[in-house]
Amino acid sequence: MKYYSKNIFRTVLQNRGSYIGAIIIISIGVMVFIAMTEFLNNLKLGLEDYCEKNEFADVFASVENMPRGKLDDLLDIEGVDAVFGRLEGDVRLLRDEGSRIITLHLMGWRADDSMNLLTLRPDAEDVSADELYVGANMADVYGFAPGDTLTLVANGRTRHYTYAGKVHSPEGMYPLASESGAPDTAIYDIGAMNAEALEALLGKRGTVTAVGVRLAPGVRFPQVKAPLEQKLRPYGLNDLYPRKDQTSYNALIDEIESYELIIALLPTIFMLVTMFILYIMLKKMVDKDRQLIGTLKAFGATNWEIASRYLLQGVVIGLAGGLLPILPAELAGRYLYIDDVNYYAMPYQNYSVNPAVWANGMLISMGTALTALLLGIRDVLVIMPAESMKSAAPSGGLSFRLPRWVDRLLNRRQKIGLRAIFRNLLRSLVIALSIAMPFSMVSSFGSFNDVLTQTIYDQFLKADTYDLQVRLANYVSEETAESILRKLEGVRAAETASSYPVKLTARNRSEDALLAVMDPDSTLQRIMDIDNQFFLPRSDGLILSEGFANKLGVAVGDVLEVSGGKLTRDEQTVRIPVVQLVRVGFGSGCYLSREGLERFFQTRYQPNSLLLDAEPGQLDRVKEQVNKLRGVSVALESERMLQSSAYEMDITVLMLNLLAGFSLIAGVIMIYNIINISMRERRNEFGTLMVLGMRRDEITEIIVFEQAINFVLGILMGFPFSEALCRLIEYAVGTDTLSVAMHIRPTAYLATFGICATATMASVYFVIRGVLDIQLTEVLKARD
Amino acid sequence: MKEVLRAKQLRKQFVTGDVVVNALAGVDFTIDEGELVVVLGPSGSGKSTMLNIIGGIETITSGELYYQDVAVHALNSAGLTEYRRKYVGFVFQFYNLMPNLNALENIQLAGELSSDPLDAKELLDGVGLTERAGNFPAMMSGGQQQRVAIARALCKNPDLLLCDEPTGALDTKTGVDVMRLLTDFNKKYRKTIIIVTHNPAIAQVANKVYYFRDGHIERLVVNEHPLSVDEVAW
Repeated sequence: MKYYSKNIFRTVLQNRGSYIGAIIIISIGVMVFIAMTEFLNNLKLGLEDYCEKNEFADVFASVENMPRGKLDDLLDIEGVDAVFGRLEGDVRLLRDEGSRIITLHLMGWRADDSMNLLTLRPDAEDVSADELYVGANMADVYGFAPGDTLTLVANGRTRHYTYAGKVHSPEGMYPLASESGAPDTAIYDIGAMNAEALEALLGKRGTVTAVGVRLAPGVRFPQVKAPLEQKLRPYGLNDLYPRKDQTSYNALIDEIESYELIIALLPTIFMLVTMFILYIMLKKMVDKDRQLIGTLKAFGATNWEIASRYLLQGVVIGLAGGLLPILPAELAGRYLYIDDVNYYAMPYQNYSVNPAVWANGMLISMGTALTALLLGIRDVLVIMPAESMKSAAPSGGLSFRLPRWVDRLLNRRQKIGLRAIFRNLLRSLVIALSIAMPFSMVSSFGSFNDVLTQTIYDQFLKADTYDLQVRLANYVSEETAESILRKLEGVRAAETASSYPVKLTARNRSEDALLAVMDPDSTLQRIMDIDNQFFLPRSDGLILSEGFANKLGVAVGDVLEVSGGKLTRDEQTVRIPVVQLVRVGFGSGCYLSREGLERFFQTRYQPNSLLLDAEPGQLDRVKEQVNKLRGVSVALESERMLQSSAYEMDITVLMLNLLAGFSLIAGVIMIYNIINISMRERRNEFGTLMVLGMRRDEITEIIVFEQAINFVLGILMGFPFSEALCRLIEYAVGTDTLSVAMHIRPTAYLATFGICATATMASVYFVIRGVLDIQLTEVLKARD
Repeated sequence: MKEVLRAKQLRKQFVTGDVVVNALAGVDFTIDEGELVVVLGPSGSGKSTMLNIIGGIETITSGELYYQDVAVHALNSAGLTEYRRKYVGFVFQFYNLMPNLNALENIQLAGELSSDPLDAKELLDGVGLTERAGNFPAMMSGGQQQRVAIARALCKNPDLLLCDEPTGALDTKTGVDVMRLLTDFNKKYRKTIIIVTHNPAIAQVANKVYYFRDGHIERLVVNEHPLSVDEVAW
């Protein structure tokens, strides 16, 4: 069968464009797989390594004031192996330029720290009382250099420190100024200084505010939760949570999980596209070789002898598709990893290459190619030797008749084109699909950035309309908050607001949430859904985001058990009904009115933030005043929150944009290949027309008319596909606090339409060129 | 009779790598209007190449070919298309019907390419397929398809009808029917027909028979009294 292999090899050479196209698409899919898998594996390993090296705690607690000497009391709890305490607190960092309000979340450093270790760069044996380390990202933003003098303000007193270097901490990977939103390290990041110096700065000698607990092997958080709460409550327990709920750790794990979905989804799409192309190519090749296969069988060749020659192509395509993308994938994976590690300020950047991932990529590539080939050549098995004596049996009779009005409307050439579509609907469907797929993928993936930006802008321009959110270090009385507001000048409108970390429980499911207590009359902070509809906070129950409701498995009318360190005592939970579900774009996702707070929790409304809307041109003046206020934790500018929220989604946006680009490349290859393959099998038909004297322009008219209809069909099919992909993206990127209502703007559709139309026109142009170059003498010999 | 085709020293070389094949090695012939000419010869003798050159689907290496006053050898691609469109009809061994058009439409399609077409329905009736007007090629037998192909070629009302093994894929009876159609057309419309075939029996109905061998015309036989199709022992 050596010569049969040679025949197939020559056929492959004749169709090399299609094979190269298939290899490119399969390579894109494998590249996405390898790049994302390597990126995520390294990120996971990096996180584990970081947590292990820095002795990341199993359980975290935040308290108001706990004497350091009382920490050992926690060791009495069964299941607690080790305990660690640290003083932490927010202080203002003053910069000469501008009025930006910069906050450092300072952590006390001790040489004998045993848990939640701080990594100082450069490494230091000791930290002197006047040295200050700043979070790596903030240090980069401001270009701090060792020896720079930095000024801190705490409790109304100003002190100067020497910048000694950068600090990294697993707890500070995702430094959130408030419980919602996204990190903005230009205004909020971690910092570190000598523990005694910090105690002096904050005026909290001998106390800790952050507690870390190491559990004994096999012990889980729920087993120690109640005794820990009991022991910590006297010291003003604010929060108690396991490692998985630690903000930074949780943010990274969330990101990894959402990318895992992309790893599963996107290569699958590309593999299906490749399968589609290869299947069509192989099927056409077998159809073309039908008589030859019949002849070989007549000579005694077995199915396996014949089929194995085709399968060899699958092996070659699979090998190429698995090998070619390795280098670009590793480069892309490394880029994503470095970008993410920098975003999360992780100190160790050890990107390692894992050949097992390459092997998996190779398996996917081979599996795709061989599956497509097996499907494509299965007809080999049923071809009978007698078929070498005759052409393939024609398909069944055609009952299709053009309606009279269509018949009158079209000339003969257009009828040939139209009939060709209905004569072989599968062929037309394949072409239409090859247009529909890139149309839907490019339009949906390419629209994500617009939709996300719009969602974030809508939130900050329509729902949260304040210029500045000032978060107070503690909950204060409404009167105190209002007295602060009264002192501020240049403020057009001001309100107070409050939020509480709570745990929502429904049956056996629990979720941590931030309960936003809102004023129904507020003009600066409102509940808005992704369709820009506003909702008033309710006093008769909770308004929940659909994301939370789905996670908790609750619907309107269900009752949730709500508990929270500040709102409930001991094991107490408060039962609150869910009264409304809202598809919020961006926000806490759990809302109650002030009246509702008082009603359900029997507690007075106590604000912990101030919302300020500055007079035009007065924002800097307001910020300067806020800078001097006592008791302020952080101040967040609406505009910066908007930017940081958008930046947080940067990698997702980059990825989806890249995918739109890849889809475009794959789409152009697919459109060309499918049209080319479909037209090639009709070369004899067009050649006959040319022999009969049909001019080039007339042949062109037939092909263009037919492909124009296929194109329109493809675009029409593309719309529902786009919608389906939009829902998929919504599902993939949606979180408790972020929902996007994916939609594709008419301009995006128009642009994608233009791209697909250009690709189709170019493909049709080259196909027509090929058709018009037919050797007419071949037609005389051809047997359809 | 008026001379319609004249060839002088027609040569056609096919070059594949180092191999040069002289498909036509200097052929001279003349064909008159209304003649039925049969070209016979073994495979590779150059008969199909000559038919292709006459039909304007193959260019020549050297020599001259005139159709009436048209210097076919000097025509470019567009000129050859116009030449085929205006003067030539083709009947193929494997019919080459448009799979997406029914029998009548296949014939009408060819009519659209002509400035003076014959009536498609009459032609379909003439080949005995009126009942099959709405049938598509896939729904017809080989003989029926070839009859439609002949009607299609005739519909253009070509001055020159070129047939490449028109009965080659048919059984004897159907082949005889097809030959009857061709000779009838030749007599009825006084159109020139050139048939390339392996079947020597067909030569008996021709006015002229060219025997080809190795790219040359080995001999020319002129039948002063050609037989009718029914007189031939098929």
